[in-house]
Amino acid sequence: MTESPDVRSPTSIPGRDVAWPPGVMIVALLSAPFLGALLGFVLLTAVVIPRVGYGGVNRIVSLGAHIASPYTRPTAVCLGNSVTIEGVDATLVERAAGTDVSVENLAIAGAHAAELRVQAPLVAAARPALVVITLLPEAAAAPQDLDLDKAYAYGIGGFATDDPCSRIESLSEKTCSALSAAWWRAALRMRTTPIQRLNSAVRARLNPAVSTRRENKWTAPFLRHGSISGLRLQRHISEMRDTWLALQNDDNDSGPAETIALAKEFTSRGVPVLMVVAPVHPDLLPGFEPWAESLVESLRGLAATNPDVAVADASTLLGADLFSDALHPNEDGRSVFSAFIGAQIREFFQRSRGVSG
Amino acid sequence: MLFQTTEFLALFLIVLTWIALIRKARTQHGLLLLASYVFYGWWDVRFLLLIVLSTTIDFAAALGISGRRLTIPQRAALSALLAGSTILFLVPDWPALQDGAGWGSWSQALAGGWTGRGLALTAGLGFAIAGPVLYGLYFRLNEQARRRAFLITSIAANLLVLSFFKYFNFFTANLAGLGDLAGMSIDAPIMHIALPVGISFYTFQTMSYTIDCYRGDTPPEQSFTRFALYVAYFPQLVAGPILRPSQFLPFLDTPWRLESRNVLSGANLVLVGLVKKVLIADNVAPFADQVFNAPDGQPTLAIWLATAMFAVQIYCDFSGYTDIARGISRIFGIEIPINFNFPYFATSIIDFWRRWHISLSTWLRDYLYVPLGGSRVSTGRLYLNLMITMVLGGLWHGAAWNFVLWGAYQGTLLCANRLVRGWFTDAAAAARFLASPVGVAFRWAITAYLWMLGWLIFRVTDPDDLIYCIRRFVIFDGRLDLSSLGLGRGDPIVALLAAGAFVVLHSFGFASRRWDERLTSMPIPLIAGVYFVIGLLMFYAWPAGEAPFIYFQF
Repeated sequence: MTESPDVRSPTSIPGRDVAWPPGVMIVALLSAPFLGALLGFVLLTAVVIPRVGYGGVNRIVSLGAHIASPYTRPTAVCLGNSVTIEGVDATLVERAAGTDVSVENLAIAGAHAAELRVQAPLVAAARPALVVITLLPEAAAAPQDLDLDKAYAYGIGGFATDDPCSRIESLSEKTCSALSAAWWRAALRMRTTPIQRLNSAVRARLNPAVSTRRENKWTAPFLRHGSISGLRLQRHISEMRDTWLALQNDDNDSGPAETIALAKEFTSRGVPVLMVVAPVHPDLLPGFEPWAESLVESLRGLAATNPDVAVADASTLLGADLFSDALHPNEDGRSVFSAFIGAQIREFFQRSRGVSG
Repeated sequence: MLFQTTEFLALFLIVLTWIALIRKARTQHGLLLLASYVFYGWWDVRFLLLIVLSTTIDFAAALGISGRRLTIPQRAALSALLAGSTILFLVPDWPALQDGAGWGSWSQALAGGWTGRGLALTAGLGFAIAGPVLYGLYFRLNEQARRRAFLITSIAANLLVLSFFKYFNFFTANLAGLGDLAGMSIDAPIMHIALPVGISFYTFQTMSYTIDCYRGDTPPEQSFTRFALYVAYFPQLVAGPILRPSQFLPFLDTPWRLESRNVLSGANLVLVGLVKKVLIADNVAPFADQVFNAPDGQPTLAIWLATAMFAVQIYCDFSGYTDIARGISRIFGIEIPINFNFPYFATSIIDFWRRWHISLSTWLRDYLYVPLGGSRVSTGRLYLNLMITMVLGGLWHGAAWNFVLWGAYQGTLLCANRLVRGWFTDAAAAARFLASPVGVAFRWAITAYLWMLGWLIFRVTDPDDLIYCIRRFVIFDGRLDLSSLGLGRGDPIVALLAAGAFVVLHSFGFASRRWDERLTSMPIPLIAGVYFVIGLLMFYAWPAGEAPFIYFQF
């Protein structure tokens, strides 16, 4: 301590004499990095985004473009989060649903009820005969806000034309501003796209157990990946349990209401929905069975009064060996879950034909 | 208001314009003080009351120590300032006003209860009333008693405010914990209060002023505006360096003038600071966060890598802030001393503390270690002094046990360093080896290992996680697969690139000269080219969300 440097005042300011006046100096020194940033922006909009897309949220923008493009509309579309991405193979669903059914998997990673409500008008406008929504028990929790990057992506993807903020209360002011942002603001937000691309490429190379999703694939968006086990699996289970417990402890009164509002987003636009409670890892199930049951119960209440709503509970469908981690089905689990959804779709169409007939 | 925001750029340009247009020193000081209060109030207007409180008390106390008796109108003016600030900063509901709602009312202000504004209002107005009375009473004491009374009042007021805002919940939570251990149920109140940004920095700064005045090391400042500017000077207000009066006040003696040489070298310092913060610290942070947010089960390699990343992050974040603060000041014509001198090249822990956060380590030396007796005491007492100083230094960083442990760890290392140094000084052959290039490399490696372990203690707050991390850090678990390195998620490649760039650039700077100095010596077109390229890089690497400086929380 005693040999620390002294604290005397500096006597002079180091530097070198410059002929330019200070004002010119300041303008020059401020302009140079701004010009650099401007070049960065031009390269981003003219080269980077057209070539490599929008990084981690590219699937959202692609989804908007996909729905808006002229193509043969599927009979049923599956919406949800990464559990649906990894757990639903549209080909297997079609096989189980019957020969006249075509299916697409339009799920977006991390999507919760409020986010699915943002997707609803555009998806409904594509006029599928049925929308299958896969929900985790956490859908019974309080509604959440949208991730800001995603909000910008939904704006770019054309999902904000009908003003989602007027329908969805849980969206914050910031999110609403992002949803309706001008193109240049959205592009600015997407400036880390090249870095994200680089990261995901390196990640996939270094760790084959981590999936890199096929962003523009609507039949089989999953990528086969290995399973985690042992301590890492236990840690993932424990993380999910903590997250869900925290959500359970929050004010959850409005959670089922948000899920019901989600179903009504589609039925009010004349599109029937099949609400499926996703498979839950057996180690996570004990604490969440009541939660899942209450979610199913409230949805069944809606289904009882609305023939356009059907409910299926797959929370106990898969054993521990059919999960690749605490959340996502593995390849075998995907087959089982896809067949389950296919059977539910077939049953729904048989019933609705029976009703209409 | 963060340095890397457009609001700050606007404020900075306004202040530059003022300095360019206004020639009178007093007006310059007043406007810079206003800018400093806007800068600090941007976080929360209510925090400004604490600065005004600290400024008023220390200004009056220093004058009292010197024997200058303020007239009654002067005392009344200070009281009115305190009372006016209390009302201005606490009564209106400023966030609601920003949202376009109406003004708050007295009844709303007083309805806050124990944790609300009522308590703060009472305290502020209480100080405003009690201050002049106490001032008069102190002057009835003899000189020695009066000087001591003013000093104690100043230190007590500063420590009271700091303890209340920073350590109250820590104290009550631990009290309740102790009660549980003893089988007693203590219903400890928990305050829902935000920690005022940078409170530890400006509290230490104002305390050094009063103590220096008491010791006769610095004359008391006669101008309130100049003193208030010393306390609230915005470039270094929230994360230092902690300035002594002699390091700042002399620069207020003459009017500032913008000079091209200062603008150039100051801007280069700002650029280096921004590169450290935005391109390096903010890009290595996600890697360290990812590992340390759930360290359980992580292999040794991941813990090592994450600790190294955190070491890069905390250095670039904190020294980046200092560089920006020094650069802005230099543009104004104020030279702030360095706070970091390549600490990661230290070859002993004593050397490390000569190079890391110099303004804090010298503060602790001059105002704590030396008054405790310093090194002019018995060996046992010296080690005790070192431990007390470093533990309190650790606690200064935050109200958590890991900071106390970190301080104790650093204190132990300093004691051990002194002990070992004594042994090697006595053994000529060993001293020769340690002075050789191999010996220097050996000392550096040992020192680096020790400060890395220190950063682990600093970073991991959960006791179970900390025990796990230390075990993994110290004992290699033999796992070498890349997939277990924590590279599965987060932003591995950017973090590794940023850390790699830091190691190369930092080593190069250490071996030859600092990058800001190197830039300053280049031809102007080349400097503009460097600025252009860094602008381009920053465009892509600037994080989308807000990334405050780590040391703001202290």
